[in-house]
Amino acid sequence: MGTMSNDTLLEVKHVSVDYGAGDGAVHAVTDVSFTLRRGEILGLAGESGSGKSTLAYAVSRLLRPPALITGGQAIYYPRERDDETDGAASISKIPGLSGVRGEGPVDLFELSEDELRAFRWNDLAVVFQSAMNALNPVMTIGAQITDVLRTHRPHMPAPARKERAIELLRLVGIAPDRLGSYPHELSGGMRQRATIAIALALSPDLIIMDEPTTALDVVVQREILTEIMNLREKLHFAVIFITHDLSLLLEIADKVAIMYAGRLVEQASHYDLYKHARHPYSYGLMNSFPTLHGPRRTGIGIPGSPPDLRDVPPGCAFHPRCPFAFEPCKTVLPLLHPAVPGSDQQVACHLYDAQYRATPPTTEEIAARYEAIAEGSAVR
Amino acid sequence: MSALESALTPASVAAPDQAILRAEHLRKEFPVPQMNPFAPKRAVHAVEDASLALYPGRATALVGESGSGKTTVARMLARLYDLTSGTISFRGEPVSLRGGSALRSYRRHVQLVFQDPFSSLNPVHSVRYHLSRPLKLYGHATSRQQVTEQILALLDRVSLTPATQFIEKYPHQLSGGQRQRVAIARALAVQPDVLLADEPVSMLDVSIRLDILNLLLRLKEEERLALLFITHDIASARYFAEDTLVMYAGQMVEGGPSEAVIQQPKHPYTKLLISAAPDPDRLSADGRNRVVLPARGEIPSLVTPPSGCRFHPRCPHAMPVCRERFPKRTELGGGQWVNCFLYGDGGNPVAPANQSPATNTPS
Amino acid sequence: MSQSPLLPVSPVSIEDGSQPPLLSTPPATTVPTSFFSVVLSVLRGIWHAITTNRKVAAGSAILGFFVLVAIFGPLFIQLFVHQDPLHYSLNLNQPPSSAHWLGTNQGGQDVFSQLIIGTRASLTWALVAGALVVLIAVIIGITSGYFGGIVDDVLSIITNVFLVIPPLPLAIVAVQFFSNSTFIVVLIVALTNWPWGARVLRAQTLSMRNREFITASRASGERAWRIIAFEIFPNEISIVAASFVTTTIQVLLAIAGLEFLGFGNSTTVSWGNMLYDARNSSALLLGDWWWFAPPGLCIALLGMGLALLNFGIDELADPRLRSERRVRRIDALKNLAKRKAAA
Repeated sequence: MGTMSNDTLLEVKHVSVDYGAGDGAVHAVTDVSFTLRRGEILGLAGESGSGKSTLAYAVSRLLRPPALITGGQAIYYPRERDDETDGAASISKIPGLSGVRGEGPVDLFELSEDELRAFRWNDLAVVFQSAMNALNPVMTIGAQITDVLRTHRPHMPAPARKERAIELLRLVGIAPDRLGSYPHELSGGMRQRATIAIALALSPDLIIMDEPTTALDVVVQREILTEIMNLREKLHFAVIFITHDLSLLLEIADKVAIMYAGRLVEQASHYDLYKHARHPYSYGLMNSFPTLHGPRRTGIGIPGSPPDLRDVPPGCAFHPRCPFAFEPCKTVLPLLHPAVPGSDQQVACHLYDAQYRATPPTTEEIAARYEAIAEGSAVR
Repeated sequence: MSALESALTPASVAAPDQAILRAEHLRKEFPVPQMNPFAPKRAVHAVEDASLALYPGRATALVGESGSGKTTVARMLARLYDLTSGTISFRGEPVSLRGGSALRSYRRHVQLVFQDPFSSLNPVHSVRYHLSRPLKLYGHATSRQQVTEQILALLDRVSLTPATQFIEKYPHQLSGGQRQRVAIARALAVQPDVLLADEPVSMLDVSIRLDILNLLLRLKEEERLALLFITHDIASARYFAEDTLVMYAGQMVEGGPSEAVIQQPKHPYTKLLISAAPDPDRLSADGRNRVVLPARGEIPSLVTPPSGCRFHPRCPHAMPVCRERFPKRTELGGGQWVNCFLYGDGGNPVAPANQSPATNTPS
Repeated sequence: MSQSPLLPVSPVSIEDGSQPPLLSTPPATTVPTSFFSVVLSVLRGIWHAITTNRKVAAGSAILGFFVLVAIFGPLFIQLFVHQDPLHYSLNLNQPPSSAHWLGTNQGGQDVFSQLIIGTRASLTWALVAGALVVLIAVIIGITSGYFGGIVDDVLSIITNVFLVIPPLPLAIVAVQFFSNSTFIVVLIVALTNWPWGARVLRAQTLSMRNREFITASRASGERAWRIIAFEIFPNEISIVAASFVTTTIQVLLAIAGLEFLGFGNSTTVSWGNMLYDARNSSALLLGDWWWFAPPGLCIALLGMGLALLNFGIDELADPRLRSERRVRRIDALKNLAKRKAAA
């Protein structure tokens, strides 16, 4: 962690995204803010419909109608143009055009189509869940890498492009003789490595990874995660890592943001979250994963199911499922604030608001509450 | 066969509770369609040798990655696939492998729950229709009133309450968890003795997975169901099942009481699987999990699988003999067994024992 | 687990009516279940579709108009126009007048009453042939797709053979061999039109066969015919409806075309036969527009109505097509406002 610089890369402020418009609009993301620093891995966790993917796609401006960004800003701080200090030990910097670098902070939501094209790949790349769908089945992976280079670095000579492609494949652990392979000739893990290689082609500062390992088996998933961690160490890119698997996120992310019904409910360093999840939802989510070690106790899960976004409960959206729900939860919307004064663990929950509750609950108390509802309701 | 017999009887079952469903040496090949009729026949060797036994009121987990053949085993047991070879016996009687009425009476006892509740219910039919079909097919209910009563009772049993509110709903009006409950109720409608659950929670939202698992556990207790739980997640196998079997590329490599298999894994593949699983409890002081995997790679092609033990190309302890043949089952005591030359060959020492088995728990 | 953010509906988990049981249990209400109420709700859905989608509204208005004409047209002629479409008179080649609203043809017959009477024949035969085509396509397509293997091979060969039969020469030969009956024409048109629909339905069934709910039905011991009729077919109704509308257009044009070429039954009155007579009597050269224009326009109008209906079915089947457009409009408006504000 020591090698990372502390300056900000991306500042997301009050972003909201709707699906559809007018009366039928569904608020997929509501008023979400977070800050991403250079070289940081931010984990976005949540269940399906929590808005985690929508948020990430909004930042990358990949949303298509009927999705609509209805508010907020995503301020991107480009790297100084001749900032070679982070001089990526094993990867050569590519001279030439470079996106929005060196022009001061920009709001990604204000970029024109042309600026956007330059911004993507140069500054931001996306790795999707299904490598098979992201790769072109009729092009060799070598051609797909050189294609990106040809589009964004038109003046780069062909031999240099090929050299770069080999370098990238080696970087992600694929033998260079695979350059001429078609996607179907590669195994699932290899394909996902290839998409990561393509994402790295122009050494972006930010990579959005949308469940990059969900379709893979555990062993391959572990290999890919290790690869991502190693690459991050070498190349210092920042990652927004989207997944529903919180246990995995705790292992790889520096900071974890948990979303529920389109809002951030908790944001903390991975270690803080692991030690003491503050929001009852975060706690429930963490304990929804059976453990490999320790006593084999009855898991509880969270009662009910995630809300219909067309009909989100008023107040705190989690209150119908929350074992702590009390009167204000049903009417007053909790906002993100420090869980304990001075801590950088932020939580959107009235339990941590002195106005409603004098002392915040301890982790043991949350556990006890969950156990109580497990006993009390056979019907769930 | 006696070794197999003893291996399959769980150690913790005191009474000689007869296995209700027993499968021995199941093998399944899927022919690969070929354009050239003179080319040598090729096949996917999906399951090479799988044996298992299910007991009333007991859950057995079958763990493996995609391509391990675990779903094929479940579908063979549900008689959706024909066996290439092997036998299935129900309550000690060998099951006729022909279709027709014999198949129907078999399905009266053995039911399957599917992985994806979003596709296992027909979008054009209501909950009532889904549940009334098995009731009518197996003659559990005849009049419309009887059907309704039994459907309501089924919905109650899977905790879809108030049942009257769910009976006329269509799949798209239900959440994933509710759909999976309906799918479970459909399996229960037949009044089966054996429930085969093929990854019943892997498509569901994280927060409701435990609920569904707990429901299945409750049903197992209440109705003395024999459960087969197919999963890729070894942690949920530990949570859910008394016994765990591990499959790799169509071969069963290790099995026994879940706690033994997961806390003291013996087969190199089981060790690999466990060390690769996400486990926040392994976070080191700097908050990083620095797992070093004992092996790499993915499940091999099943059209031309490796000879002998199919794990040998990836195995850090591979010996020449591993390439030649698949080891016999070795009993390790306490009900745990393993098919690996590191621990002998059916109880006999392997001739060139130049490797010492790693006995400690995974890193 | 995470679904594509681009789909408007999928990320939303639906849970109406089922309150989380922690807080409250809503009063038990039973949804009315009678067959009648189900039919009523389906009709309400169709009505909603007709009234909210402009294409469907226009299409069904046109189709509805022609259906009314086909049903009540002859009565109308009898009661108000007092003309016999087959009656020859001495008023040859008269332009439209108050006595003959669309003039007369070379035999002195009233064109308007021919047009009205002909609607019934043209529309009925088009719908009958359309239904026949869809029926064959459904049976062959679903059977072939569901059973696969040798059944599929045999049926696919048959389908492909019929696919390459040229309809026009076959119709000409058949009509001359049998007789100039409209039924033969309809049969030929049906026999040469079903393979397309069958292939579409076969492909759809092939993909549906591997869906888990079909496997689940098999696992619970359902019989094959029940799975086909009650599990697969209802899921393909939108395709069947669309294919019915499409084939009806084709069949309408094909029958009119064959009649125009003189292979129809010349004793019946239909739009195609009217065009045939007009051509035979060189109406185009004589400039008798009232003779050939109305039946031609009717064919075009009915075809357009059906086509509009088909577009509507497409849009109803894919909700994305609707909402996407609406949002694009709003997006465009917002951009406009932004630019104005900036200026």
